[in-house]
Amino acid sequence: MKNIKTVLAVLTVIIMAKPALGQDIDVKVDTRAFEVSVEEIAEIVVEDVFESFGKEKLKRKENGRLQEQASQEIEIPLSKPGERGFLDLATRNGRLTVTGYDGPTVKVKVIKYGKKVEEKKSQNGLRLISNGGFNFDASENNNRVKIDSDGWNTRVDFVVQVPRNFDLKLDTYNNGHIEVEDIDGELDLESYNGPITLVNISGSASASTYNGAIKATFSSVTADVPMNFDTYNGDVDISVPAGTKFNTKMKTNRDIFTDFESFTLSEEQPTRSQNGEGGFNIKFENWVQGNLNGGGADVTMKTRNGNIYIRKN
Amino acid sequence: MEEQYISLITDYIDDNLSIERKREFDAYVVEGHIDLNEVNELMAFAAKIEKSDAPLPSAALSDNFYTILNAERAKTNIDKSDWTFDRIWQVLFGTNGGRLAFGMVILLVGVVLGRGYSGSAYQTELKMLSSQMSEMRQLMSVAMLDGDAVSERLKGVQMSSELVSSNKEVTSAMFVTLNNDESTNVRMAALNLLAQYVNDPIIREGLINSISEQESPLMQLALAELMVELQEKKSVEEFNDIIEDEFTPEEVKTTLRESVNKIM
Repeated sequence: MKNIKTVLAVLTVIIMAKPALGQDIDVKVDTRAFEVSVEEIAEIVVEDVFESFGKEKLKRKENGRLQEQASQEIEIPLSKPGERGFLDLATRNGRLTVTGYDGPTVKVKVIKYGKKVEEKKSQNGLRLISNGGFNFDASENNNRVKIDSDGWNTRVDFVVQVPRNFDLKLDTYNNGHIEVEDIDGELDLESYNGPITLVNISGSASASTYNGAIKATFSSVTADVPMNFDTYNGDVDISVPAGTKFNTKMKTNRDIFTDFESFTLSEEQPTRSQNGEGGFNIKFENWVQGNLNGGGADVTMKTRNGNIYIRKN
Repeated sequence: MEEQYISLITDYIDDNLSIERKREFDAYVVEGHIDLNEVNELMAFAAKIEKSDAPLPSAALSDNFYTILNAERAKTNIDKSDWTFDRIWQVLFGTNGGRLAFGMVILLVGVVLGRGYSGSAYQTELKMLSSQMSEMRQLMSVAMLDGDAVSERLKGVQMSSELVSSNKEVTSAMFVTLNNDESTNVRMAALNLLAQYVNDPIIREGLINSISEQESPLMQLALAELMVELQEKKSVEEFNDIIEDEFTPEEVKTTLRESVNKIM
């Protein structure tokens, strides 16, 4: 009888506590609220050239003019501080930087780029007073933080600090350099024009881009978790601790390098499959397969115009 | 009474003794080899037997005998198999040749059965086991493809790698992942896997249909690359739809146009 009472009491507490745990933060940021600062465009141009892998002259035109930078910072508290969190950050145009730190909240700095608001009238007698609004939504529910921004034309960078034990899903497209550092979790990253750089990652990661290198340095790799690294123009460069075990499936038109002695290449095997009519299909693919320290989960590395590196750190 | 004297004694009883044999007989009696009293007793018994009537079988007895005989005949006719079995048994085991032939036949049947059936029985068991295994793998990989975490879904793709194409459920689950998974990395893994089975017409068809399902330029371009490799003309129309879409980034359109030109 006493037990039932205890159970009921606990249940009541849980039911009452539940609404308090979930919270939604909806942030609408208006450009006018931003502190406006002007920066030399040369810096941005240099940065962009470094972070993308050529082929992008088209968009550089607009960078020829001075751009405005506006920034705002917000802090998102977590419903369950200390427990593993998840960040889903999606944008169309802008660089994403996520760093793990020893704090309990998610800190987001939003930087907006745009044409300079002009002081003088231009030739046609008009003066630019606002350079296109943008907005983003941020919400938190049960330690899942979601930030969305969907402007194609205005570049918006996000610099985010999260507690170290966070899983990340990051998506961007243009100016899409993704940088992640000091995270202990599972990373799922996608860009198009921009490299993906991972530093001091503990856990697992998968990253795809088109124009840009993928470089990942792991301090530890979760065993038996498959990973996928895919780009078109750029190197794939992975560093893992010496004892890491995995199977590699690699494909490139260029070269593959490693400094692991315990790396074994397996014979290229044609894929044999039974087809419906009782015959066999045979497919010979130019995947290079190998294993590291005896093999483990599949790690796929694919590029067309770039080398593949597997290093020990 | 000793046996050697029996013939003498019987002849004496029947009164058939010659003079010499009579003398011999008398000599044996005097010597004590033959006990006269005993001989007399035997003589009296023989006389008694001769005097008594021989019993004649009654008519009823004869009738009974024939009825029983007929009944027995009828019975053996019904149990003919018994009779043949006995007969075969007799032929097979009654003679050395039969035994040898029987042994040879058994050996031959054994060899034939052994080669024909025992091998396939082993194989059936093996097949059953492996089908159970693949069923388990199927259940597991389909469940994992449905998981919340990216790593789990990637594991699901990896696990399905040996089942795709031969297992319809896994193949269709893989297409659901290819077309609907929210992570481009998981979709890409599914594409890498399915691209190994392009000779399977169902998979090839599924990949062509998948072109219009993809929103990520990375997936559109990866599929374009594959279709160029396969020179798959049916894909051209799908790519043209993407090229005409106003939301497709200009540079993706350019690359797709290049790919389409390579297919033509």
